Order: sequence, then C-alpha cells, then structure tokens
Amino acid sequence: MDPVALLKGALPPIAAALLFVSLWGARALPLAAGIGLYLAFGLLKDWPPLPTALWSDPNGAAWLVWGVCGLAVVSCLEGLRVIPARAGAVLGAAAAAAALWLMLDKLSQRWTGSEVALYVGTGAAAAALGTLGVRDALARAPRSPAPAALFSVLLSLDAGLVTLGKSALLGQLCGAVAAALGASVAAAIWRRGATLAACDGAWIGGAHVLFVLAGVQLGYLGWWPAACALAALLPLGLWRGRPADGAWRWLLRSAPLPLGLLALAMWLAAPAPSPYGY
Amino acid sequence: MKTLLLLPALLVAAAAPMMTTTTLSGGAADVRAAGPHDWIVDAGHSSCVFGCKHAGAAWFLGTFDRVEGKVTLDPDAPQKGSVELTIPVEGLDSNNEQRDGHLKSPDFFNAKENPEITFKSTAIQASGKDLEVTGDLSMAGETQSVTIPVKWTGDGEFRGKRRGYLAEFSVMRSKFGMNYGLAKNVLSDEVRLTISLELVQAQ
Repeated sequence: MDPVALLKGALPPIAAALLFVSLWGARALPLAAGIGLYLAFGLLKDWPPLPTALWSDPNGAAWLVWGVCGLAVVSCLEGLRVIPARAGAVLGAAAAAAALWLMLDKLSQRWTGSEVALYVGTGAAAAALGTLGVRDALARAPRSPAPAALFSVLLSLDAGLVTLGKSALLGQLCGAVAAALGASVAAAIWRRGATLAACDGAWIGGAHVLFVLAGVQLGYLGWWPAACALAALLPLGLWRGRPADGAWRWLLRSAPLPLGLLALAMWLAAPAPSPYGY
Repeated sequence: MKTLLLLPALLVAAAAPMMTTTTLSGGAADVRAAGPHDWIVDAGHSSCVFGCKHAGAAWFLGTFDRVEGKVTLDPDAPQKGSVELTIPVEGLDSNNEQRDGHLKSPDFFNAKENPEITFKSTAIQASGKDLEVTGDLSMAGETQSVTIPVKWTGDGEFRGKRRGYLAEFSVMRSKFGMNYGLAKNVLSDEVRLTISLELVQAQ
C-alpha cells in the first residue's frame, strides 16, 4: 500500500486524539475520532459534501463519515453530561440506525421493498444493537486503557477485513477510527484517566457495524465474513465482569472470542492465492 | 359444443392486439417512434476498451462487456443530433478478478452506487463523415464535460443499414473522484478510452 495514502488516513486521527485527549481528557476522544475521520476522508478522497447536499445527491461513503461523526457528537454530549445516560443510549442507537439508513440511501433507491426491509431493516437493527452492546460492555469494563486497546485492535481488524472486501478507502477510514482509539491509549501514558466510558459505546459500536456493513454493501465483502465480524461483539456481553476487575483479567476473558471471530472473518474473506499481483 | 370450440379462438383473437402491444413496448418502443436519422447501438458489435498506465511503465488494458445507447444524426443538420451511451460498470474486465473487484469498489467506480457510465451529448459538429461530439460524461457519481473526436469507419448492410464509428480519447480520472494510486503514480491519472460503435438504423 502507498505509504503516503497510509499517512493521510492515519495521521489526522492520531494527531487529533493526542491533542484533544491531552488537552481535555478522554471525554474529547469521540470528537477527535470524528474530526480525524473527516480529515482522513478529505485527504484520501474528497471533502465530504454537507449533509444538506447529500440529502438530494446521496453518497454512501460520505454518509458513513457523517454518521460516525454524528455518533461521536452523541457520545461527547453524554460524556459531558449535556444529555442523561438513558437518553444518550437511545439517541446513540437511533443515530446508528439512521446512519445506516442514510449510508444505504442511494443503493436502496434501486432495491425492491423486500430488499429495503431486509438490508436496511436488519442493518439498522444491527447498528443500534452494536451501540448498545458495546455500551454495556464498556459499562462493566475496568477503568483503564485496556478497553481502548482492545477496541482499537478490533477496529484495526475491521479495517483489514473491509480492505479484503476490495476497498482500500473504506479500510483506511475504519483504520482512522482505530488509530484515534490507539492514540488515546498512548495519551494515557502521560495523562491519567484516558479511559473509555459507557457513552463511548455509541461511536465505537456504531463504527464497527457501519464499516463492516459498508464493506458488504458499498464494497465486495462477503456476507459470511461480515456475519462473523458482526458476531464478534456478542462475546463481550457474555463476560459479566465488573469495573473493579483488573485490566489483564478483563482482557484475558473478553478478548479471545472477538479476536478469534474477526480472525475467522478475515480468513473467510481472504482471496484465493493468485500468481498474478496487481 | 360449438360455443366451447369457438371460445379459445375468441380468446386468442382478443389477446392478439395485447400481444402486439407487448412486443412493441417490450423492445421496440424506440423503433416505433424512430425517424430516418435514428440509430441504435448494436451492443453485440460495439466495444469499449480502457487503458491505464501502471507504475509509469506500461499501459494495461481492460474492457467493458457492453455498450448500449442510441444516436440521432441528420447528415444535413448534424448539430441537431444527439448521442446517448450507457456502459454498465459491472461488465468491467481487466483480466484479473481481484483487480476487477477493486476497480468496481468505492476506490474507483463505486459500481454499486453508480452502476453505469453514461454519456449524453450537448453539441455535435461534423467534418465530412467524422464528428466532434461534446457532452456530459458521468461516472463514479461525477459528471464532466468532454469533447470526443469520432471517426467514421464505414457503412454497411446486414439485417438493416449499419454505420461504424471509432472514438479515442482520454480522461483524467481524478476529475471523477478516482484518486487511488495517484500519489506515487502507481496508476496514471490519464485513462485512455476507445469506443467502437456499430449503429443499426432504427426502422
């Protein structure tokens, strides 16, 4: 892969996360991820049109960027206690479902009613459940950088998976979100308290589901690998830990199954070996 | 009994006009409205080849498997003519399945959202039998005005009057939002397109 393109995708979210988390703490991380993603899209492709323009001339990748930015704003508002936790959960789930609907808007114009119901309906439900599932997992996670490290790895694997679905652009954008999370772990070295909270479930869970489904619908990722990737969040709900648990204990219990499922997804998505590169 | 025997005949007679209408509207609606200067692109004998330079070294070539459309061309008033072409992106073939998928992805054509490349003329100038066609070329969700020199390649007769044209031109893919691989000139910005059209006169 072109290292210049790689830097264009990775540097803005890393810089934004280091700056924002250093200045304002972990509550600014969602905003840094959103801004970093927006900048990465602008540098890699083109500046995404404003939602008002996308409304009449939709573009799935641009809506995806705005969708994750919207989820980041919801997380940020809840983190700053502008909206109460319960409203944040409902708003996050609704925003993820709406982002999925908008991302598929252009495609759905050519779909039949049953296809719209199937792809948009189940996709929106998956996006909403993704936000709530990660939210639940983060609420019971230890107050340490460990959850951010785990979700950074999970989103990095998502990025690799989406790239295997033939779209380097979508892969790099997902990698940008993962890079922001990874940078926040680095920021924890000099800033105490750079930890995730339940409110971060909206943008992390939403990004995971939205990018995987974008890989299927906008790119050429198969349904089986996507199903494995989406299911990777489910084991996080199985481990009924407590915030008081140690970080290593939490990681050892929480990480293997999601990582295993994502590894399986990548194995399923990997193309057959070809003697001809391109 | 006679009534029973007559019934199928009556049903067939009643259905005949409906069948005729179906046939016309199913495939030849344009033909019914066609004038003497209307031509239809014979997709089976028309081709579109694209070429992109790799690593600054060689042009690799690929094809689109189908070109569809219609052309209206009055030799006495070519400026009043029109050209409308449609090329389905799903038919892209670069002789490498992985690369085909990548070319159809949001990195390039974004084929799922923009399944067709379209061209619609806005002005036509004639020079003998050759043409210079200006129009809106749309692909990957972007539209750009291009001027295409079109050479007449021959007239013929095979199940109707036929006319051939060859268009060779270049576009800069970055103008259509396809930036992938530009930074280190892995893939050239310039994409060469060759479109060979065989037109059948609509009757």
